[in-house]
Amino acid sequence: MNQKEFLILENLSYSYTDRIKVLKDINLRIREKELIGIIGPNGSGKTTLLKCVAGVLKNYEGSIKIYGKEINTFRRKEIAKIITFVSQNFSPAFDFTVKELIHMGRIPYHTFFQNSSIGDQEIVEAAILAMDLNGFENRRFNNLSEGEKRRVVFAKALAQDTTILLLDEPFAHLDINYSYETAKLIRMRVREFEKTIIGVFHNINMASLFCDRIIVMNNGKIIAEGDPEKVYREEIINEAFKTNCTIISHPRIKKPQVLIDWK
Amino acid sequence: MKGILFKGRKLILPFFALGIVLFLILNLSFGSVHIPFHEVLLSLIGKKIESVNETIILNIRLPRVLVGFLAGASLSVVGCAFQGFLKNPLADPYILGISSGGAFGAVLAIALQQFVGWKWFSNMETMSFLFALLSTMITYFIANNKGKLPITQLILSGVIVNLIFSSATTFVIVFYWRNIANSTFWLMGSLSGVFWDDAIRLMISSAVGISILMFFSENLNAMSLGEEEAMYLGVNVERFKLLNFVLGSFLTSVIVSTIGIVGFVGLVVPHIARLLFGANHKISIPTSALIGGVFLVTCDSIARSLFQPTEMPIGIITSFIGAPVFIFILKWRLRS
Repeated sequence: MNQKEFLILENLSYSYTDRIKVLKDINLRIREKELIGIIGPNGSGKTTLLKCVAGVLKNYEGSIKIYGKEINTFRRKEIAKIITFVSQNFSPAFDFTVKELIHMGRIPYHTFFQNSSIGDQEIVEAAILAMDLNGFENRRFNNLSEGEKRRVVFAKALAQDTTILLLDEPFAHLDINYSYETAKLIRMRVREFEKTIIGVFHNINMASLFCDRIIVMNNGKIIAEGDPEKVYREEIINEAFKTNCTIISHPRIKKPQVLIDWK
Repeated sequence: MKGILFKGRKLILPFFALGIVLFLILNLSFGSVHIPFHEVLLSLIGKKIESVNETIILNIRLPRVLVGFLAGASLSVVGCAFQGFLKNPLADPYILGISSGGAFGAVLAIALQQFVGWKWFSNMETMSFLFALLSTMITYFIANNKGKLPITQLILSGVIVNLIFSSATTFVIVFYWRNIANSTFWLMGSLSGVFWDDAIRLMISSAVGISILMFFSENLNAMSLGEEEAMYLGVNVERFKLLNFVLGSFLTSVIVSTIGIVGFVGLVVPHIARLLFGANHKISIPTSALIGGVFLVTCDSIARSLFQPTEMPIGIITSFIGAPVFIFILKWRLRS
């Protein structure tokens, strides 16, 4: 891991109202091609952190620099060429086809007079291929299964062709089979496409399998950070989530998994 | 959604356009005097026919059909754009109260000119536009709840704004003219009495408004995924919303100050366009325009030929068609 650090957060604080700070003094340096998972209890500031990085919440204190430039000085369109945000709810107002939706990932590259750009077709086709969506192009989004819908959303994200993907609980609505299968496919593809991922995970066991580096947040602060083996320790998880848990190593994959005690 | 007619649309569209032109010419036959179709064709290519009929066709019916077509097209495009950027299948210039605001502005301007003698601030089109914009903003701000616009809430606030401005329109009419009958034109619309200058004004406004919205069709696609999604796709959401409000109010106010309030066109037509040609705004905006034009011309032909010796206000016809569609969409949408 000697890629350069290209996304640097320094003393980042954020508050929605004047009194309560949702983020307190966050310091974080992110290297290219890292897969980073943020875990923490509800209200710990995970999604707020993500939205600050996405450039949506602009009046933060401290600094978020991407390639050396402060994120709140970017124009919306420039950000959209660097950062893709994949939210957990995706419900178009109209019944678009799969291909139409994936094509929308190209919008940041288009201008007022030009509704297409060079390479659109190839990039969209590569995204369709990567997400195993061949034969789905002309299907209607609303008729797909939840797992297929997620794959369309990720294909659209790949078509946006950005360095960074921000994931906000991307697998939250899926059942066990779909969520792990989709996650596996996506992990494989982001490696191939050399993306940097910052994802908020509710399922901490999946975060351990998916990510290179875990950030544990509680009350707007980072309380632990590092690879899963280092961070998944009983005292850390118990402090963040107010649980009683046991950590074991996955017998086949050698990654830490959290078991909740039941007494 | 690939629509029913989408496959090979490059082949179908020219036929579609040709059909529309033929259809518009056919409509020149209908009215209080029936003029045979071959006479209509002859007069259009400049051949001499009976001079009364020629005057009726060239100076009364032709501008009327054109105004009907352009008004239908503009209202439908505004409806299509609003449904897209508000992510609300029931949005329409009438339902959101924009038309009522525009009508009030126009009536107020006329009253100020005739009875108060104001010269400035009483240009009818300008006043109509300002009040259309005002009513749009009021509807939007009543419905807005922390950046979200629940479907039913937007409709409810539209109903209220509609009621306020319709009442205010009637109030001004009765107060100044002491004659309630004048209000039917403004509140229910009519294409009788439009002339070439109206047709030309509408041609300019429709051409400008519709082509700007066509250029922004990708932004409309992005907005129909939700405001946040649109932002992540690089759309400057606040500015784009403002553009839509201004353009929508502009187009609506030009129409309302020419033919009065005609409801439900902007609601019904975009749904038909999407059903036939797919949801992509690159296609649904222009096809909404064409279908909307045909729709309103048809309604006007019904309004002027079936109820002789009088005419039915055109808004009545469009409401009879539009209201059931509204109910259907409301029931079907709230279920899913």
